[in-house]
Parts: sequence; C-alpha cells; structure tokens
Amino acid sequence: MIDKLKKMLSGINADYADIRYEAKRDLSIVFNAHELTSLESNTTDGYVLRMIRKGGMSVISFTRESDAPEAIRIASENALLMSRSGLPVKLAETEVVQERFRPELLEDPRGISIEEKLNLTRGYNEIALGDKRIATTSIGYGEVIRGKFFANTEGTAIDEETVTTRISGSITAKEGNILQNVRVAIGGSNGFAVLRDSSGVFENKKRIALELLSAESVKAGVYNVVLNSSLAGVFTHEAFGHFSEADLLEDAPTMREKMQLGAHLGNEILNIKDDPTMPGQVGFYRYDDEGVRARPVQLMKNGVLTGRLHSRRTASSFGEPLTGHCVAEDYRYAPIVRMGTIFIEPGTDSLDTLLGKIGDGLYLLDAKGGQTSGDSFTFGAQYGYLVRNGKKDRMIRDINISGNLYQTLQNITAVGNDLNLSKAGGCGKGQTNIKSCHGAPHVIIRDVILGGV
Amino acid sequence: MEKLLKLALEHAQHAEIYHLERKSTGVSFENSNLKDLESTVQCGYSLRLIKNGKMGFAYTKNLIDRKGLVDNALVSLKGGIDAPFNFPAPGQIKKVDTYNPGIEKIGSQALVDECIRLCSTISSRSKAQVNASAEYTISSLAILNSNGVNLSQKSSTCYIAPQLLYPGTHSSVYRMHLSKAFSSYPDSYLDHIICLYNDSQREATPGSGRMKVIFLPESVYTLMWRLKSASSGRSVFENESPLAKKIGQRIFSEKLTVWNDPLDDRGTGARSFDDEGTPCGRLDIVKDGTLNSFYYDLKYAGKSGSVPTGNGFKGGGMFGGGDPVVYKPSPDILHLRIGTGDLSLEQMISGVDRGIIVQSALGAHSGNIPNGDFSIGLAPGFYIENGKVTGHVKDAMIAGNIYDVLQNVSAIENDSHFAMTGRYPALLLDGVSVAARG
Repeated sequence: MIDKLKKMLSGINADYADIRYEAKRDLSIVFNAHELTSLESNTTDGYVLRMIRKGGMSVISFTRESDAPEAIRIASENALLMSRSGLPVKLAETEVVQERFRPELLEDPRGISIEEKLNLTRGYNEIALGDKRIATTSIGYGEVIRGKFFANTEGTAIDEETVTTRISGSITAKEGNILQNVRVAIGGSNGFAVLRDSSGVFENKKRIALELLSAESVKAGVYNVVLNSSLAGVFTHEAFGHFSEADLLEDAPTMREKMQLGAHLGNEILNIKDDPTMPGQVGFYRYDDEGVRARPVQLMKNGVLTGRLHSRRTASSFGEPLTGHCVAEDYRYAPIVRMGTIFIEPGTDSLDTLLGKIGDGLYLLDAKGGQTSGDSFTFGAQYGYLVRNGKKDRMIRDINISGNLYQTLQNITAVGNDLNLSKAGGCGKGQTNIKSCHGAPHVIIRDVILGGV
Repeated sequence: MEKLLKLALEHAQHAEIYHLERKSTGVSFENSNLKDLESTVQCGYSLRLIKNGKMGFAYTKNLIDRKGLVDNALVSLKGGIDAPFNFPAPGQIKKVDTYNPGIEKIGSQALVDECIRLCSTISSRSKAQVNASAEYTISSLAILNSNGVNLSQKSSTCYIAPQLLYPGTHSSVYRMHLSKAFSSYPDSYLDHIICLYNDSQREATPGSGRMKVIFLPESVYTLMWRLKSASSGRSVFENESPLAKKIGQRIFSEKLTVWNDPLDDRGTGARSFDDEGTPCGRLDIVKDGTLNSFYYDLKYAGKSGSVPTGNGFKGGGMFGGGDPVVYKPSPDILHLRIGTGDLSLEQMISGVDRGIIVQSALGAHSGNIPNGDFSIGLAPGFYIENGKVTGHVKDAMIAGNIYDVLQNVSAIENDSHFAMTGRYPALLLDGVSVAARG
C-alpha cells in the first residue's frame, strides 16, 4: 500500500503533499434491554490527500482509487486558490521516518470469536438489568481497528494500527413518572483483556440508577464543590484542553493574547499534562496523522501556561515545538489538533480531606456530556451528594454546572492524590475522537453555578 | 446495485440496498482570513437482509467486493436480531424539488468571494471579530429493495454562515442561510446579527430568578430535542417516554403547534421518501398544545403494531454528523416546524422588561433528555432591560422541563428560520429559571 501511495504522490506537482489511506474495521454489538438489537461487522476505507502549492493548502478526501486523478486536480486548483486568497501556510520541520508500528495488545480482539464478545456483553447487560425498576438499557460492544498508511513527499512512510475496544452504554431506571439514567463504560486501546472481569462496574452503575429514583433535585445556585475524577477530567478536557489546541487559537487574536505561554492562568497548585505516549491508555498512539511522533506536553505548571498542542502548521505559526497531536477520526477527514491523554497531575489530599475543606457544599460524580464555547463551559453530572460539615450526605440529581474557564482555573483550590483516567472517549470537534482520554484526581472548585431544573 | 440485490437474494428472502454519494466543498474564514478549503467525494452502500424474520446489516464504501459485503451481512444475520417487518412495496411518492443544477457551477471561488464580502461588510459596521464558513453539497440517494422499490433523489444544498465573536471567546452571534444553489447572504440576516452584536457588546450579569426567556430559532432545538425523544415510537416502545399514554391530552400551551413536514421544499433537504423507501408526509406531533401523534420507522411500527410514518432515517445522532451509510434506520424527525405567531422578534423583545435571549445553548445534549429536562449554559445569551437588548450574558444557566416551560408560551415570532433539526420561529416563554453569579 505504501508503494501505491508513493506512486500517487509522484504524480503531484506541489511544494508538499501527503496522502493517508485507511481501512477501518468496525465490530458492534448492541443490546436494548434483553434484546440483541445490533450485530455488525464492517470494513470501510478511503483516502485523504493534502497539498501545499505556493503557500496555499487544500485537502480532499475520496473513496475510490479511480477518483484519485480527479481528486488531485481539485486539490491542486483549491491549493492555488488558497495561495491567492489565504495567509501562507508553512509546516514545522519534522523528522523523516519509515516505520511499521503495532501496539502491544493483551489479547488481540481479532483472535476472539464474535460469540465470546456477544456473551461477555450480554453478561454485563444482564447485570445492569437485574432489577424490575430498570426500564431499559442500551449496552454495546464496540471494536474499531484503524489500519493507517501515511506517506508524504518528504519521504516519511508510516504504517500504524490502532485497536480500540469498549463496552459502554446507558442504564435507565423508572418508577412512576420518574426516569433516571446513568452511563457506563469500560475499554481501552491495549486489547480485549481490558474488558474482562468488570461485573462490579455494571453492578455499581445499576445501583446508582436505582438510588437516583429517590434522590432529591439540586436547587439552582452557586456552590463550592468536590468533583470526582470523571468530572474533573471532563472539565480539564472541555474547558481547558480545547484552549490548548493551537488551531482553535490561531486566528482568534483576543484569546491568543490571553493564552500566551507564561501567562499565570490557574491556581498555583494546578499542573496539567497531555501525554499520548502513556502505554495502556485509550488515548495511546505512536504517530499522529501527519506522521509526527507523539510526545508528552506539560500544558500548565504551578498555574502557569507552559505549552500547547500542535499540528505542523500551528507549530510553525506559533513558533513553538511540535507535539504530534494532529489526528483525524478516519479516512473521511483531514487531521486536526486533538488531545491525546489530558489530565490534572495528582496532589496530596485524600477525598476526606477535600470534603472537609469545603465543609458545606456538593460532591459531584461522573460526567454526563459537556460542551464548551470559548471560555464558557457547561457539563452535566450523573449524580452527587450534599456535603454537610465535611461529610457526604443525601444523594442529589439533575446536576448541570456552568462556568468560565479563567475564573474556574483560579477557583480550583485543592487537588486530590488519586489520579484516574477515562476508559472510553468520544470528543466531538467536527469529527469524533473515540480515543480521546482524560483524567484527574478529585478536585475542589469554588463558586460553581448549578442550573437545577 | 441490481447485481448486489441478486447476490443478496441467494442468501435471504428479502433484501434492501441503500446507496449514497456525496460531493462537497467548504471554506472557512477565521478573523476575516481564509483558513481552510476542504473537499470531499464520498460514496457508500448498505445492505439489509431479512431471512426467517431475522435481520442482517452491513455496509461498505466501495462496491469492489460485493460478496464481502453480503458475507458481512450474513455474519450479522447470525445474531438472530428480530425483523418484525418487511420492506415496503412501491407507494405513492410525491415529487419534491430538492436539486438546483446551478449548484454544479458554484466553484470554490464564489464561496471565498461571498465570505470576503461578508467579512468586510460586517467589519465596517461592527468591531466584532468575524469568522465565516460556506459549503455546498451535492448528494445522490438511491434505495432498491426486493419488493420492487426503486427510488432515487438528487439534492443540493449551499450554506453560508457568518459569525460575530465577542472578544476573548468563541461565543458569537450568528444565523445560517441555506439555499439549493448559491444565493447571497440576505441583508435582513446581516442587519439582524450586526444589530444584536452591536447592542450587546457590554457583558451583562442578569442575576438569578425566574424570568422571561426568548429562545431564538438557533436554540429552539434544545426544547424540540426533548419532544423528539418523547414522541419517538422507539422511546414509547422502550418504556422511556413520559408521553406514552398522552395522545389526545394537552401537553403544551394552546399556542404551540409542532409538526413534521418533509415535503416542504421551499428550503433545502426536503424528502419524499425516508431512508427505508416509505413515502413521507406531513405529521402533526402537537396540535394547539395537544399531543397528536408519535412517529415510526418500519421496525418500531412493526414492534408496536403501528403504521410506519415515513420517519425511518439513517441518522448520525442528533446533529446528523455521521455517515448515514453506516447506520441502520431508526425513528427520526428531520423536518420539524413550529407554527408562527403574530409578533416580530423586535416586538417580542420590546415587550420584555427584564429577560434573556438564548442565542446558542451550551450543553443541550446533557441532562435528563427522556424526562424533558434541560439545563443549558449560554454561548452567548443577550440581556433585555426595558424592552431593549443591553448586553450579552455568558456565565449563566437556563433550566427547566419542557412540559412546564412550554405551558407558558407568551409569544411566537411571525417568521421562521432554518436551524438545527427544523425551521423555527423565536419563542418567548414566561417564568423560566435562570441561575447566575451575583
């Protein structure tokens, strides 16, 4: 395949070009309540071509090999149009590499039968359904194997595979008119074994869905809160992480000014890193989709902004080091700047200490969707507890919090000692990134707005 | 496709092939500079088999390996997934106008030129940072089944969307313009977004409490999403709809009528048949506040003994962002309409002494959607004092349950605009809960 790509590149008259071919294999199994509603095994493929001519860059994706000449023609024209109307694009220098890379897997899912995958998923689903007040579930197995071939006119040629598996979904409890649901996910990028022996996760989430039926609605207002790893991780990803993506800042002068390296943005206890090279995490990869080797980036140190995530284009435009964070969803998309594994580094406080520090407030757990727009963010929590005199009290529900990034970074006043990373990703930034991984220890945030219902 | 159908029928009693080809080119401007120019030429096929009442499904991008596709569908068939329906026979398909051949002549340059015009016009009339994007798409859809359905439809869409950003944020004022071939962004929309931006430059702090809230067409989907969820034949069947037994009961203010109209081809994206080949037609969901109907695809109509309503779509979730080829059809509503009222947006605003306008909802996808709950941030909202927009609001949340807040519709705009999931007027609701600092 690499030879075929090189041949396509050789016919292109451009200052730079790269082409990526991907064959993607999906296996999905879904149960809704007791019923198996989906079992699918599919392979899809396609090409993405990028080209720079006279400083103008264009991208085209296409499906059929026979469309390549037409695609090259369109991309060439568009690149010239870009060179006339847009600002010139330069790519940061990177090492030329030739490598075939396969991740280390604990049990390659391709070696496991569909029956075994079906049975494991059914087993977890039955655990989730184990109470008559559970109205329905939607729990599924998902396996995505991306076989990626990348070549560019600088001589880089990479053949890398990523293997992502998960069992995830939602559990809905119902009593009278009250419906409550929680989400559940296990998974990783290091083989099928990560999915085994996880009955406890589904048992626990079923229990929480049932307890939520009699939990009380939280009142709208401003609170001091302790967030668990899942929620603090979503905050790190949604509110801070997206601001570390250089492509979102590149042409936003007022934000770029605020987000200068060296700016004192956060509380001094705050240290944040993105590291796609940590083995065993769902966010793991070796090369990004521009053929740049992934590397860890210290984004914030003692509250000071120290780095950000780059593509070759943004690294050049910001004059900052390459990080290897330019990733595409699949064969349909050009790569864009994405987080790998982003997390708040652990501090020293235990959960009890953190609860003690807020005295009266809320303890919020497990993310339920989040969204950001510039420095504003909103996200939901699946459940929580009132905190009275530093102790966990009654359960609460209907929790959505909102805030401003800069204010919140200052208001994180304590960081726990227990780092946990997410097991399954799903970041949407025009494209979906199923490998997006985030985490944190428990943290305290002061003065958070809760919407209530 | 005929060859594939024949091959499939060697292994199953019934078969259906769905084929989609899509070509698009899009440009984006950030801070008035041309940033990206992307094109895509995609195609794909999906196959459904029914054998002894069981369903098999598979898809592929190319038709190079027909046998491989059928084999994947046979693996799927082994799962024993029930198919409580058969594919439809040819029905009465109305003609809709979805394609304007002018689209073929647009070219990237016209999109670039229009965005340059918008960036410079807006910059001359406001201090906002201007981003803009424009894209045109041509798609061809075909559905073939073993009961004789052989349908196809070609569609064209061009959108233009300028945004006025507040300093230091990605929060912006925007409105999208859609047409079947290229047409300039309308002056009335330019006036709307520029005036809203200029009137709202100050950052306002609304305080907490119950207030009048106007949902602009761009944020009405937050409310409609909950209604879509509850009126889906799937939610009703799966025991997670609060509306399950409420047909004929009043659920919203009598001022509110909500219907689905796939045949409305004044704008883009009309459909005369759904992704299963069932004919589409108008369906009233809520009539004068009273729940009228649920909507169904073949599967959930079969499961619940109802009639398919032409609402089987291969959606990629709420925002339809995914590749339809890879999804099985499920009940979905893509052409929602809300009956218009009798006030202009300006008149609605002038009647509010203190309130908030929701331009863009943050977190519309979180919260207890089946239950009708929402709890959204503002990105941004506008603050109204004494009948005038006096600032924009960022750090505040608006929350409620649609079955409460839509009882209190006090005014509906006399015009409607294309936005996510449908074509909506602005809605003015009384007494919605607002939480904010201070």
